[in-house]
Formats: sequence, C-alpha cells, structure tokens
Amino acid sequence: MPRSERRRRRVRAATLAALGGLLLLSSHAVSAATGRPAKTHAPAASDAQWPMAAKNWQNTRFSELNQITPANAGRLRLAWTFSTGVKKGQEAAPIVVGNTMYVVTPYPNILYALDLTKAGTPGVLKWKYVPPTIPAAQGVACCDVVNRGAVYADGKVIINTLDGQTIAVDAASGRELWKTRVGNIHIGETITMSPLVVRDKVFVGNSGGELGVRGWIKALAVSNGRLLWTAYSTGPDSAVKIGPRFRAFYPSEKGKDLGVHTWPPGQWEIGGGNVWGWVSYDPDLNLIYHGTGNPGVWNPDLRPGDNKWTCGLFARDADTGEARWFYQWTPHDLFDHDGVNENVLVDLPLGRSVRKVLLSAQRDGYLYVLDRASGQVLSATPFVRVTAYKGVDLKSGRIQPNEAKETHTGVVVRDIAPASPGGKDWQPTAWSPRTRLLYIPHQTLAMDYEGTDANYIEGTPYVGADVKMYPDPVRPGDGSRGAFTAWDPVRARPVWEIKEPFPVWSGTVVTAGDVAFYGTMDGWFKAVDARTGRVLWRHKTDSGIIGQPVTYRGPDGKQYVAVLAGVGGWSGAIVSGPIDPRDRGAALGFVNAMTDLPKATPAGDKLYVFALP
Amino acid sequence: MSSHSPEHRGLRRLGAVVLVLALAVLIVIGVTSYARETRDFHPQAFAAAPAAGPRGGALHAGPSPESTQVESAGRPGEYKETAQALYEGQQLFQSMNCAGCHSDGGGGMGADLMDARWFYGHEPRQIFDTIVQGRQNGMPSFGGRIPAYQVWELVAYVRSLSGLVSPDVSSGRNDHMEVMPPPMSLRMKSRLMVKPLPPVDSAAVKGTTVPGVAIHPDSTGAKGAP
Repeated sequence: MPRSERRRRRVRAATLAALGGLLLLSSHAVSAATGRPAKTHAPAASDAQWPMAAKNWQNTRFSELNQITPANAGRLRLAWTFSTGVKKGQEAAPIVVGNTMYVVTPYPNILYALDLTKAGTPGVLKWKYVPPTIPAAQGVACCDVVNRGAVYADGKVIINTLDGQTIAVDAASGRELWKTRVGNIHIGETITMSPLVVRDKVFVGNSGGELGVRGWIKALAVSNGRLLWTAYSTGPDSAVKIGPRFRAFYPSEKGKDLGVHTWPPGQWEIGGGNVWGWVSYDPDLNLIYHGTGNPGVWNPDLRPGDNKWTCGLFARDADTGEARWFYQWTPHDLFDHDGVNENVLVDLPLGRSVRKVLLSAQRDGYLYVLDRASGQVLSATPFVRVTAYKGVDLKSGRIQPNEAKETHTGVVVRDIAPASPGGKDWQPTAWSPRTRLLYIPHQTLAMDYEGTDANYIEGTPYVGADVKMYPDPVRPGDGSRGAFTAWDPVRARPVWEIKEPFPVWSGTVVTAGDVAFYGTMDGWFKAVDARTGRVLWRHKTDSGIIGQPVTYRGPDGKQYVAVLAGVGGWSGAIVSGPIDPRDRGAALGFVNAMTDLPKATPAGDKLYVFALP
Repeated sequence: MSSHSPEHRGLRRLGAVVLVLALAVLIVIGVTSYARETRDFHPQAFAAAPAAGPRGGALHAGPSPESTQVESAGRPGEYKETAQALYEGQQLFQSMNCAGCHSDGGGGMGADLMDARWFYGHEPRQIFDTIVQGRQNGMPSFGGRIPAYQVWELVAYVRSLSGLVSPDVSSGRNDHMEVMPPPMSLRMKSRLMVKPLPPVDSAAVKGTTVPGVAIHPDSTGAKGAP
C-alpha cells in the first residue's frame, strides 16, 4: 500500500476513534423513556445516529431531531435513492453511524455501506459485503426471505443471514471479521431478526415456528463471535436457563421443567417458541426482554397443555442469560399468535407512582402494560376487535379464550379476530415521551381456520391448519385491512387512528418535532402530526413499504428520513412470491385477504431518503 | 289394422328375441373390450429405505450432499394419469408436507405450482427428479423418503394443478375448507413458458454419475445412502 494511502487510512482511523469518543460523550444524553439523564450503560448513540434497528435499547424508535415539524413537513422532498438489487420484502431498518449508512437486503443478505457525504452521487457506495450463504435457506423461510436490519457495535456491523449465520464486518472497510453458524437450515432453522448488542454481547434468535424448530436465543461475543450461552424456549429448566433466580409473578409459570411437562411426550423437541422478534434491554435492571413464538404445529389438538415457554415473554439476565421471570401471553396457542413483538421500555405514571413498565402490542390483539421488574400485568386492553379471547384475568394473569372460537381438527371456525398475523405482527411501534403515546402500525383481519392432520418431517412445514384471512367484517363498511393508531397506555385507549386499505406492515418512527412516519403496502410514505394524526405529507414510492423508517442528521446538519420500499413479507408474499391468487389458502392463508395487492404495487428494492429543501 | 295373423305375431316375437340377444352380445363385447385401468394397491412397501438402515439425520434442504456419490437408479415405476394416481397424489401432497410450502398449489414458501412457469421443467420425469433430488433454491430432496410409485402419484397431482392433466381424472370437490377451486376446474393458465427438454441421450451420460439420490424399486436393490 502506498505511503499516502496508509497515512490517509491512519487519519481515517483517528477520525473514527474521535467520532466514537464523541458518541460515548453524548451517551449521557437523555433517556428517551423518562426524560431524566440516563445513568451508565446508555446506548452509545446521539440522536444524529441510528445504530440499531430499534434506535435504542428501550426500543422506543424516538429521535430528538426536531427540524421536521408539522408546520414544515409538507415541504419534504426526495433527497436521494439507492437500489439494493434484491426485489424481495424489504423489512430492514437502515442504520446510521457517523457518516455512513448500512443497509442489509433480504436474502442473499448483501450488506451495503453508503457514504452519506456522497449521498445521491455515483460514489455513494463505500463498500459492499456479500456473505457466503446456502441458497436452499430460501426454501425453509416461512414468510418471504426478509431481514430486519443490522446492528453497529465497537467498529463492527453485525448481521444475521437467512441461512443461520451471524457475521461481523469491519464498519470502515467491509472486511469480514468473524462469522458464526448458529442455525441449521436442514431442520428448518433460519434467522430473520435484527441482532441486539449489549456491551460485549450480541443476542441472536432463530426463526422456524412453521417448521417445528425449537426456539432459542444465543449470546455471542462481539469481539470474536464465540458462542457464550444458549437459552431454549422449550425443554428442561437447565436448557431454558431457569434456575434459582427465576421468580415468575403468576402461579401458572411456576413448577419444575414446565417446558417438558406442559407438552405431550417429546413434543417440546419440535415445539417452536422461536425468538424471531425484538430484544430490548434495561441497563438499570440489567435485563433483556424477548418474546417467544408460536408452539410447534399450529393445530392445537396435537399438543395439549400450556406449551411452555412458547407465546410468552422472558426477562433474562443480560450477562448470564438466566431467566428472571416469564409471562405467557397465550398459553396453548390456538391461532398462531406468536409472542415476539417488541417490548418498549418506558416509565409511566400509573396511579400515584411512576412505574417502570414495558408496553407491548401483541399478536393476540391486546396492548399490555407490564411491570418490567416483576412481570406483573398492569393492564391488557384490546387495540383491535378481538373475538378469539374474552379478556385477560389480571388476578391469574391468564388470557381467557373464547370457547366458541377454539380451533380443532376437522372443524371450520369462522370469524376469528385477530387472524393469525394478529392485531399486530413484527412491525414495530414507536413511543414519544413528548406525546406519551405509542404509535402502532397494524392490521385489522379476521380468519376462518380448520385444523388438519400434520406430520413432522424435519425441514418441512409443520402447521396442520387451513387458513383463510379477510378484512375484519365488523370494521364499519370500509373494507380497511390496517390502521396506524396512536395509543394512550395510561388511559388505555386510542387517541386517533388512520385507516388504511392494506395492513400497515411497516415500522414507524416518531420525533421530537412531533412528526411520526410510516409507510403503506400500496407505496405511500406518510408524515403525520403525532398529536392529531393529521396527514402532513405523503410520497408515492415504486413499491409497497414494509420497512422500518429511521431518521438521522446528515453530514450537512440536516435531518433526513430514510425507508426501504419493496413489498413482500408474509402479507406481501403474493407480490414478492409470486403466488397464485386462485389458491386462497396460499402463504398460510394470507393470500385470501390480499388478492388485490398485485394491482396496487410491484415488487421493489429501493432505499428512499427525504429531507426539507 | 286388426288383420294381424298368428304368423305375423310369431315373426315379431322372433325379431324381438334376436334384438335382445344382439344387444346383450354388444354389451358384453363393449364391457370386455374396454381397457380398464389397472390398479396396483400398494405394490411396494416403503421400498426406498436405504440399505444402511433408516436415515437418522435431517431431511436435506436443497440437493442432497451425497447426490454426487450415488449413482442414479433411474426412475423406476411408471407414470400414470389416472383418477387413482391423482387422488393418492393429493393425499400424499398433504401428508408429505408439500402443502406446507406450496399451499394447495398456489405457493408460499415454495413455488407456485398452478402457473405456467416451471423452473425445473414440467415433464413427468423432470418433476420426479425435482422431488427426489431437491433443487438448490430450497426444494428439499425427498429421495429415500417416498417409494417411486408414490413419487409418480405426486407428479400426476402436481401436473394437474396447472391443468396439464385431463379434468376427466381430476376430483370434482375438495376434502377440506374451500380454499381452492375444485381440482377438476383447474385449467392451463397460459401457454407453457418452458419448452419441453429434448429426450436425454442415455448413451451420452452412460458411465457418469447422475446428480441425485437413488430411489430403489425394492429394498434389495438399495445401494448407498440416500
């Protein structure tokens, strides 16, 4: 390497180190949730940055940037675009650190580093990393070949690949630093979730709930990718990491080896409970929070029992992985109501005191407020129409299924609401400490369901259900299939709601300018007034939006908003598939509700970035 | 006309008898000369089990890793487009979890089987190979899991989903919740996008190993691991 180049590199390294220092300094900023200065361990990111898919450990997706306001949002303009070349469902959040944006594509999980000082010019591509992957992974991914984004830590960008690897790449050069195979596609295991880094550990969980894959979360060393521990979602206590420090709040979560005894013999080995959603972290309690997915085989007749520890929420020690408490949203799941949705950590005035709670808009259609230290349910309120359950008993903590909607083999049960993808699926919410509202992108679907026989053949689907979804029939006459709802968790009621013709399958972000952003499956990217729900501005993209919008401060000091457009995922499989709409049960029954989507949008692969002029 | 003589009546009776006899003969000829389809009821047990004992490991996503080491045993058995083959194929499509990926034909995790697009060919032998050998973009290899005759039944059912099989032998109704039009009503959506491949020159491939896993007509013929 010529000397000048070497010197340039050294200078660049020094600049990066200085930047890193600045980031650390700014980390004493303000805890997004509480408004008071955060103590130690706050995520190392100023609000100019977006270093992880959920923005911060608390998963608030709130940014202090305030240049864009309800007064000027109408003047937003397209700043630049970038084509990723992979026309599958774009569910990732672009992440931003320093002057670089990192975008990971759906399978084959290409990682792009974009130089924001050259945005919109041919020189924008800083480097590109193509991981070595096994194409057959595409055949065991249940719901399109999506990826939910990278994470930045310690000079590295860490991604998960569909074929079950966690890979760290040097953020400056794109050089591969380590890769660890954590999943086995031959038993149907894939990874779609966005990893979370807490200090020296990166947390990764598997997908495969539709293929009888036993769920787990693993901690790897950020430095070298070494596996530190694995905690399973089913099986004996030792495998689940349930030990003397485990204190469940409710009696039904207490007992020895419930991960074995709440199943028919051996069924827990193929029992699902996959950790394919979001992980959040409370630095004060040193707890990570993660949900677990649906139990293995959808048809509930084939797995009598509570099916621990599926469809629930674990609080684990962030260092050792030990389970500290668990709460099961839906024991003995009847509808594929996974429990992996994000848990947003906020401090909320409830009654006379301010409680450390977590907010979770779950698949079962309830908005839960839980004490995040103890696992106690403080409230559970339906945020969509619910026929599947009759409510959550706050004394026992148990959800009460509606007998009339119980699913069984050979019985067609109609008008189950919410449908399998739930009141809300993976698409993450955002919390504004200014408005004290939770912004919920979600769907409003019901379904018919018939349980069928199922054979377990490893590496093939293990479902045992015929499903047909449709717009919630009781939504007054508008045929809408989704909504963007602002929810007040203290009063436990919606404040405003925007109905959408298609499920709102994108994430959302809310800013200190009191503007919230989300995208629709027919390709509109919208800015709305976070207080009133008034649509301030919208832009039509080339394809439906199911990605996670983010906002950052560019090298020129301006606030930018970025989102990937490219329809797909479970809801958009009919476009990214392709799928034949004559088969209404295709894509696990979602197609029946989406037959008009191909007319509304083609597949897409493009990053859009917006700013004020 | 009341002048019918007894001879007349006798002649008429004779005529009737001859007519009945002739009809009977015609019916017998008709019935016996109609080529009835022959039905084999479970002609083999689970014959494709490998000699080395049941496979312990996972079903392999994509082409089998052993595929290059195992000489293809060809495609034993016979492809039939009969109502029985289609019906059994439909049952197998569910029980072997094909439906988990391909839904009832419309696709999902796996390819759409109702359209006119065939990534790996629509000829019966090509579909047979796809099922047995797997394909690299995700179709697992079912070699060693299903006897050849059942693979052929699956082939017939899969072909029927895009209207490549006469509706005469397809079922007129669905067994479960109506998520699909009845099989009988499925028609070819458009002209096939892939032209049939020319027949393989067996002389050219002789002596080489054929990628894929052997499906064995009987257990005694089993060699190598699938």
